[in-house]
Amino acid sequence: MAAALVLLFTFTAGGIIWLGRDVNETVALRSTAQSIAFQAARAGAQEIVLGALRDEGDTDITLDHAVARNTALAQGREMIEAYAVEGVVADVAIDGNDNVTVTVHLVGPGGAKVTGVGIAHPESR
Amino acid sequence: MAAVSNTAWRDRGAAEALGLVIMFPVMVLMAILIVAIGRGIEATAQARSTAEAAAQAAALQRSAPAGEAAMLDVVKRMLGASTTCVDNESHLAWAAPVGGEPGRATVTVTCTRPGDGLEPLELSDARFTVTAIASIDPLRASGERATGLGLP
Repeated sequence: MAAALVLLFTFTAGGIIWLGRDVNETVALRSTAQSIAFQAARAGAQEIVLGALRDEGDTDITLDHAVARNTALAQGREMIEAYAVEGVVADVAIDGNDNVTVTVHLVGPGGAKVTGVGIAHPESR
Repeated sequence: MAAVSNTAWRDRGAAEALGLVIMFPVMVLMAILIVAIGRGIEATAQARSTAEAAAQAAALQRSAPAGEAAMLDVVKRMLGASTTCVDNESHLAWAAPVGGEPGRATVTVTCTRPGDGLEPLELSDARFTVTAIASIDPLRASGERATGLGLP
């Protein structure tokens, strides 16, 4: 009886500790994914068309979609490398309102898979 | 027959009482273990979230001293009232963008998860460190710039 109880509680405590570690790893990885996605989106949203602003005195902010996409991708990859995590920039989407949306997938050392999404929009201040 | 039944009943009652006596402390320890794990996760999440925010705030500044000030401000605001991540220290490593190379602001936050109330598990204060990295905004940072758009 006593041995069964000890065994039961040992397994329960082990399970709780394992679950805690797993949750901790996933929370940390998700935070990293969100940070990378947001920074990539911000970098992309900074790629505005400068010619019109400089030469024509135009005050409208227009995003250079092709450059923004490449910059967001490059920034995302660079941040994944900087954080030394395994993952990919899964998607860079730019809509008609110049919102840059970056989706990042990361895989943790324990195999946990998380997704981070960051959205940024160019604006003048 | 009745005497045997009474004895069995008494034995069963005693076994249940003994079981409760053994089980109760174990259940209490299990509850404390869950609290300890939860506190650890919360403390780490708070520190990580703070480090990310501080790194991104620093990365928007023009120089290392301004980045340091922005980082300290964010850390103070986010962890000032925290009870799970106390005695915090923060450090900023500033690598300015040079040529085509992007700059990086790396913030390290170290804090203590208090062990108050976790003594039955012999868990004392635990000190831990988290690191966050942010890419320095090349349009704002001073130094050698690839874009030529920054301020002097």
